[in-house]
Amino acid sequence: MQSKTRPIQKFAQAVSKCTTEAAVYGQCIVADYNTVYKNKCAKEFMKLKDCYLVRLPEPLSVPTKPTLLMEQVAAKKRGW
Amino acid sequence: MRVNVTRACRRHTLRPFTGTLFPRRTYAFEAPSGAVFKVFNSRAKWLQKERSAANPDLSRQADYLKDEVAMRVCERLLDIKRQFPRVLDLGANSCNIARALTRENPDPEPSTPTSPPLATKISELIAAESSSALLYRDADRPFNNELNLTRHVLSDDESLPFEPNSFDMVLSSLSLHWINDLPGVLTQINSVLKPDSPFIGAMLGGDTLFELRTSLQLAEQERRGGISPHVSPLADVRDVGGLLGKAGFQMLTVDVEDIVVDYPDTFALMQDLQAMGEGNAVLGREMGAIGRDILLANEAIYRALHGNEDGSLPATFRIIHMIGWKEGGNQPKPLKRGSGEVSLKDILEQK
Repeated sequence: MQSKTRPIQKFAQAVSKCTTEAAVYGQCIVADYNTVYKNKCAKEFMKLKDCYLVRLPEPLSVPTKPTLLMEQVAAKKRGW
Repeated sequence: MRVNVTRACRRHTLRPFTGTLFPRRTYAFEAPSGAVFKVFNSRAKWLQKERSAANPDLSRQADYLKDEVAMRVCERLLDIKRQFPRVLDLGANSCNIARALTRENPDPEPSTPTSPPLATKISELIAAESSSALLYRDADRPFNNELNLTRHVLSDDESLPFEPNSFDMVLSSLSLHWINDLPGVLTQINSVLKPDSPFIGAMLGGDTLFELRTSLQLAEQERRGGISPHVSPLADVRDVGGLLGKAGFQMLTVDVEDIVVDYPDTFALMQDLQAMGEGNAVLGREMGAIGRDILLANEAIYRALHGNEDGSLPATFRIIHMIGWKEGGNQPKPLKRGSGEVSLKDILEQK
């Protein structure tokens, strides 16, 4: 069971490569953590998310990069 | 659908059919047990423990906290100069207490050449736990042969199937924080103890995992505009003293210690919690896994709010230790209120 990498570990690896973006987002929240509301730091979060999505290792079944980028665009439109 | 009605009542309802299929209940009856405020989903907790034990290697790796606390609980045995014929380990997890007891004596006497492990003070240890997979995980390990250990799978975490006055000591390490009815279980512990016997326990409480709690709250607040519980509500130190007293224990000792563990990232922390079988089992939680967006935001916020300078993330585990004695024998008792003749204040001020 452990020979396979769990999806969460790939996720964690990708996130660990985005320390600068994470720090910017973290500072945005921590600067005033008593008044946090929805999408307060949406811009910073999207930068962080873009960073990790690019660094995420591609799963074998998903075909090529263009679709991944299109998914990103679609995801942005959906307001993730 | 089955409706239970008494015989007299049933005859009463055999009237010509009037349109309702189910007989109207004409009297009120009491619920079978007292109202207990349910916080935890005990079935989910059981499943989490079974799953964690299904992967013994990972589960053993994550045993560091339970082993450490079990050792600290057992060290408290050094203060009691007694032999214990029959001892109960309630909520044994993977028999961490049994393993800690068979270790070398943590406080060897310098006068004696060899110092036996604490297990020699105990003739029979009964380890009770609801998850059989976790309980039998280490059944083939060598420590099993070094003390007389019996494993007992509990069908229900919150009712002890043991006779009253049958144990010389009850130990419990890191399991009481998942009990819904803590006053009830403490009363049962008091009842299974022989008179003048100790209960030594440790549970997570207070500010345990406050870093994770706060950062997940902030992450959910910012990403989704609302929060759901991810870390259990826990008993506070002040509550525990009152609960022990209410359950009938005497000569209480309650103390707290913090164990801070550093993790490389929040994923390692959450993975270890899962491997310990200490995942979220709060009844009101949102079912399913936490979304990636929240995990991503949580990682960034945890690091910004609580991170160490060297880049690691601290996680606090606050352990509440408790010792209570069942009343009986020639136990020292506090004097009657108002019977003091000397003011402590005068003595302290004279010094």
